[in-house]
Amino acid sequence: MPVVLTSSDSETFTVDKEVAERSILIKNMIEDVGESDSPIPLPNVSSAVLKKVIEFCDHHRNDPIQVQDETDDPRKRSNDIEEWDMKFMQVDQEMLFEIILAANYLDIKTLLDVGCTTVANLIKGKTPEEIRKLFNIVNDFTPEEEAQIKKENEWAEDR
Amino acid sequence: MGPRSAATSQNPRLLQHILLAPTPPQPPLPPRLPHTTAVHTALLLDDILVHIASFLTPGDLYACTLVSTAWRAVFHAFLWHSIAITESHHRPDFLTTLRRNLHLVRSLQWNYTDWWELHHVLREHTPLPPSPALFAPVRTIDPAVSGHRPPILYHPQGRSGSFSSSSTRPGTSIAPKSTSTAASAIWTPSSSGRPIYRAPSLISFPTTTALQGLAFFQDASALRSLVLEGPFELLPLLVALGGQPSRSGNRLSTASMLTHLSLKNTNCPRREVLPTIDLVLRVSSCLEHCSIRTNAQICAATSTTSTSTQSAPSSSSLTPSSFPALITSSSAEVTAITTATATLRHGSIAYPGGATDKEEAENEDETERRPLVLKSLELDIRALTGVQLLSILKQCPDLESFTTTDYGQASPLQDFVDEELKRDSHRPLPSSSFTVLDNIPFHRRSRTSTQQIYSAGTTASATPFVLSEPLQEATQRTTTATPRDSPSKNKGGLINIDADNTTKNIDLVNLLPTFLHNRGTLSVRFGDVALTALQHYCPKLRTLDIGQAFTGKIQSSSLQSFLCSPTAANLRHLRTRGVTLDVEDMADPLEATRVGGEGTLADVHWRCKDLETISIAFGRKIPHPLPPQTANSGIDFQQHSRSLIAVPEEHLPSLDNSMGDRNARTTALAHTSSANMQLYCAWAERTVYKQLSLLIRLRVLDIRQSSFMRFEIGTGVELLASLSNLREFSIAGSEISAGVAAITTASACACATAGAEAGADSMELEMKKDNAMDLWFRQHWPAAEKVIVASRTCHIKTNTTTLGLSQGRDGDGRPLPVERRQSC
Repeated sequence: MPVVLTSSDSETFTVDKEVAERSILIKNMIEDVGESDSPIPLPNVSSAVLKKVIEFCDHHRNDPIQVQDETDDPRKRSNDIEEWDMKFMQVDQEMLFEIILAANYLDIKTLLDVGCTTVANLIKGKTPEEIRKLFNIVNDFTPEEEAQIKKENEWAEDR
Repeated sequence: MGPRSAATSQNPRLLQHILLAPTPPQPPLPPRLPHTTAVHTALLLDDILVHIASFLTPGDLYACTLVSTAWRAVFHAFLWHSIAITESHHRPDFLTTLRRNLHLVRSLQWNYTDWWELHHVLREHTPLPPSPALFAPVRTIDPAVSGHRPPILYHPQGRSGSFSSSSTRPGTSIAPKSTSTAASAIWTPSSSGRPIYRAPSLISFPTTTALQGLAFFQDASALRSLVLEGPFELLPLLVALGGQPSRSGNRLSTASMLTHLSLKNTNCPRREVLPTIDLVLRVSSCLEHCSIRTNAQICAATSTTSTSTQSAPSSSSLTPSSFPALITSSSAEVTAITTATATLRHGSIAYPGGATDKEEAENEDETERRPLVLKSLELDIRALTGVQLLSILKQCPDLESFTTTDYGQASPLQDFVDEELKRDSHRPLPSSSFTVLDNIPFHRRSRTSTQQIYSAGTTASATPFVLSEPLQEATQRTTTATPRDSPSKNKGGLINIDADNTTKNIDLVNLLPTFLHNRGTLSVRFGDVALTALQHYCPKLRTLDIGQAFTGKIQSSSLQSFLCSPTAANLRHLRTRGVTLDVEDMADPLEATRVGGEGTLADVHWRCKDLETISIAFGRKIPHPLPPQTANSGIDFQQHSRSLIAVPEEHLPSLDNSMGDRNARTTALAHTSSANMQLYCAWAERTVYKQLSLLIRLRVLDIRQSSFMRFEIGTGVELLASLSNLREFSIAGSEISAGVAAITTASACACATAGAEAGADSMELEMKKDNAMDLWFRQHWPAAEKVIVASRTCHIKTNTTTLGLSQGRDGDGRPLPVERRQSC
């Protein structure tokens, strides 16, 4: 059964239920409302982003749904990205974070993982100043605060 | 992250209304301001930052903490989530920082145990000078700098160059073999060239002092996993982790969310005594995985004292010297001790500052005797008794893996029935119902807490051991086959067979936790009695993985009896370590007499016909190896052994219960003629192979330590052709690949002949035999993925790989040779 999704700019997308239910948010909505022809509004997702999200969900439609395990050590997560996903994420920075926000909103864990891994790979090996420059972040530390943080966490500096 | 709206999920009508409404509803996430970009919006959301953080290394997290205050709030917490203290943490104030951030730590691993640094930490209060007996001076090999004497460096004897001075002057140091940065900080040459001791950083090791500096993790409210390895004292840590008992009956646990605990303090210089094993088990109600390896000793008696509302000795007063005093109790006290130990009521111990009254104790019993959620438990602890072990298992219904060792002392499960039943030791024993049981040597008894129980109602030599009938029967058989037991020794070791207790005893053994019935015993070290108990009371056993503390605890006959029992019918996986199944035990002379007539020996077939994996060692009671003169003697072993087996009784070892007779017969047998020896070995080999050939579902067959078996065509190995499902096969033994027996099959006769003619050219003969076996592998074990024969490793690859049995053929269609590696 197809599901109709409406983006924030009122564009509609008809997708298979199987694809739409990669989003836990949409899955729960469908379960709560029951079968309906009414379009599902997604006011936080633009049509350009929703198109990308649907593309991702369609590609991964047969993947097992990942369940968050609180007991897992988050540090053990791998930074490896599949080739298709890596190509999928070759977008400009604004679109990358739009996708991450959409994945977070729609509760699509695999997409969120791929997006955050891409950002993490951008951060890796960079100095604080380089990270600030990359994401246009203002340094709001006082020199004393910065020195204190350095002293407290210096054990991790070269790890 | 992507939260399902609480309002809509609780009210479907509302959701329907929202979905059908012409205007989009208000988004659940905070709206983005028009002038902000997705980058800024995303990087201000903690959920997103935490998710990104989970893919970063500590070094990157460190950089992120310095980006901005908003980022610091997220990344600083994540940086301290998982701490593995290694030598790179050698910062002077790391412990102070850790203490300050301990509430953020979810996982702490601290097992830096370089022995050399440890040596100095243990002597931190008594620094210089090093003992001449321990350290030998070594002069540097580099030329001395003008004006300076070369420094004298010290190294522990037998390990040269394991540390260096920290001097950077050329010619004054020896490069350390160890890469430890801390090691170089230990010794510093003075101007006179003499080494000066400088105390190493305490953060190298989880010492008691270091743990005290962390308040024993009192503030580690987020701690889920704790791994410590070092010379710390166990008792204060466990007490702190478990929380102090309060007047209200509740424990103020500092690690209530701990799910994984691994403590190893076997290098702790102090021999501790733990009042109760519950200290370990009850550190957290969420504990799922627990591993304790310690040289501390369990003190069963102290838990009792508390039951009678007496104060247990404080942790500082619980020393080995106080232990003997505790075990010299009156008879009544000992009974109480046993009872209390069996129930192991946690909280009954009055720790310093935690006096309990009767009501409080009852409350604690109610709250804390709930089943544990432990899934895996590893205990390497001294003086763990069977009663304690049974109590542990009773409390852990979800246990899936259990490992225990006892420093090679009394096997815990060996005496669990014994100790449990000692509680009835005050009852008079009917003198008419005694039989022999003494398979626990006295020198081991004296080390366990059972000694104190023996002294309660009776003497140690008159052990009141009550067994139900099948258990008693089997135990009798086991006991009488024990080589250590002499008739004189058995005289005193009597057990009571009381028919009235039969039902009770069955109940007792049925108390074994469900995992023993359903999942099998994994890596449990136990003895004959426990094996017999499993045989009679755990019919659903599917996996049995047994080892023993030292040779002789599990008798070959007990293992054979188990394998022939109905219990074994459900067995799928069997692994035995340290246990050798003697081939003589695999035959039953009585059965043979009935079936095959007098003077013959018949196999007793195992009931475990559905075994899928087996790892087992075979032996024989005759100690001497195959005499060398049997080589190429031309005797057709196959013909002799195939007849199965008209071995004259006088040529076989005795299977009766008389040890004296057995020794005499074994000695006599050792001097029989080489022909008889060959005949005997052929029978032994064939018996083993025949037994194994019946296990047609086997996927993995591992034969270890066989002292007599050869793996050649003609020895009976052909019988293994029935194992068509075999995936992995390995065999190792002293006779493997060294065999020079006659090869009697048609395919191998030529090899034997060629070998005989060549005389010294045994290599060629070996190669031909190898080729014959390779051919045999291909023909009969097409699914085999790996075959390991003694020191020769042959890899037969599957059809999906390059050297498949069906694909690996040359241009003429002949099979390619099996890949062979020479390795040990």
